[in-house]
Amino acid sequence: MDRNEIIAQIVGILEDVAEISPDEVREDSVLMDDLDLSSMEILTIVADLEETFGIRIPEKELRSFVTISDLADYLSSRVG
Amino acid sequence: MFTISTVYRVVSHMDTMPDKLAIQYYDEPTQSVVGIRYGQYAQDIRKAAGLLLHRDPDIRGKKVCLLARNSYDFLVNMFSVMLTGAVLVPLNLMKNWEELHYEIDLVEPVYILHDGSYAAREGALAETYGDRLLPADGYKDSQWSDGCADCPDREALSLILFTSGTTGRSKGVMLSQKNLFAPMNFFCLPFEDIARQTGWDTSKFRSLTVLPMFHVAALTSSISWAIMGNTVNLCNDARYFYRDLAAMDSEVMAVVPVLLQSIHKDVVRGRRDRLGSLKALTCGAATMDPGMMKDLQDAGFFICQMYGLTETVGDGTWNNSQDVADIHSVGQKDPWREYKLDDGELCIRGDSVMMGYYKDPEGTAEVIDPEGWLHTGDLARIDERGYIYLTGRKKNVIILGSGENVSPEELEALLDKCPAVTESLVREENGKIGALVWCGQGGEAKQAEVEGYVTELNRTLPLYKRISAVHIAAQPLPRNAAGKLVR
Repeated sequence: MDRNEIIAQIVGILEDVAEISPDEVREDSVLMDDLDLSSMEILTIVADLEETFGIRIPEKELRSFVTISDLADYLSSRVG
Repeated sequence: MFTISTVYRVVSHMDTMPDKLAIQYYDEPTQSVVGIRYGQYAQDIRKAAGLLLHRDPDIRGKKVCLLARNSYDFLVNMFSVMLTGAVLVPLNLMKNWEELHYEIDLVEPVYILHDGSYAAREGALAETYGDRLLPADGYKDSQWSDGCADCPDREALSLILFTSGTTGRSKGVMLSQKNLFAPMNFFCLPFEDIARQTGWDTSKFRSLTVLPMFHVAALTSSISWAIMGNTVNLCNDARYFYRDLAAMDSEVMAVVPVLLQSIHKDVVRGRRDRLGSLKALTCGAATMDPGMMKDLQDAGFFICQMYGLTETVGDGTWNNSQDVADIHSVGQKDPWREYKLDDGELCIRGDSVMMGYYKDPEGTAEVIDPEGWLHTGDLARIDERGYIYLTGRKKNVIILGSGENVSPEELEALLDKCPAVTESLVREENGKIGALVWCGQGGEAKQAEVEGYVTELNRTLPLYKRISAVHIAAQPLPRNAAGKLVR
């Protein structure tokens, strides 16, 4: 899956979990700041990504997810 | 009335209902739900106690840390350590190594029971304490079993729970079994009241535990549910909340604001079906949104509100009123405790008040006065019916939507290390952490630099401690005559 498709999946999940319009999401959007996500919403998004991509994301990776780009980079490395 | 008053008696109580379902959890490898009955539970606790005593027959009074996710193994070890007379010290898995290292060194444990999840993230754990690490599931192969004798001294130290201090370092709250069991009636009896109010058979309620068991709320509820003889469904990771709820139907759940928000969203968006039988929520740890609670009541949920501190084993208030007029109250007093307002600050006295902070007599003296009143640090008002309303906070601590307490000074010290930052003030903004920084004249130009620093800093912090907004101050931060930041 290429990076654009991965980002499209992330954007879709963001819309579903947190009702964030796709127009508001940029690669450098900070999850907790720009997108105003709660810690619970971030965890729900991570669980949805795991299901979508059929992977398990280790606990230690969660800390590195600060922006949309971080998520996309990680997912690209796993399923790209 | 429930009269069980020691860990030993809880385990003996389990023996009286061997076939009742005690614990359920979702087992990842087999992708199925595992159920444990009370008879098995008691047997495993004795095996774990026997193994510990085999390792160290003189373990009484020594510290044993427990570093594990919510799991059946956590519960077995939790009970068994206290059963042997050792002092249980549950540790917060979300903390970074520096914080955890400080806490472990402070309590000097003989053993650290762990499930490997923290060690997988921080190699330093095994490097530093390798000889004291024991697997949390070691009891499964235990050849020993020991029911121990009943607790000979209910006032002896039995449990240390770490709580966020107001001046940086966390504090170890020392609790005896007398403290631990003091509020159990106050935690159990409201379910009889719910049954009276709703006609629901609360004796068959199953509770989903999502909140981490190293915090006081989930830890005490795992004891109170054993006293009631009900089933606890364990969720070991908040991200699998929906999967676990679907796999293990549950009637009640303890929630913090971020969980209430998720459930509220499901209900208003017509997704109630994914919540299964869930119909009662016990809300606590931080201020809840009254509008959300009202919406959920209107949708048929029974909403309980609780207020308590680690320093009181979670004891404090309980609100079972479903009248919208009472929704702003954290509830009524525990009838077995004394309450008073001291210059507006809520104070509690009685058996649930901790023994003190571990190795910190000064800190203890700041919160427990010579008459035994615990000063909660919360400002409150009590109406003529005994309903308590929180009106503000005297102590310097941020309470987040996740229920986690964070010391602003700890984060300010980290922010002040940024070369562009002269001084900083960390505060709560809508349930999250915000920072106001002064970067000198013309500091607005440094916004991007500071934000870049914070983004990198956040990568080193647990999710709940991340700074989510940075504002550049137009002038130096206000300080009082003593030179302290005005918050």
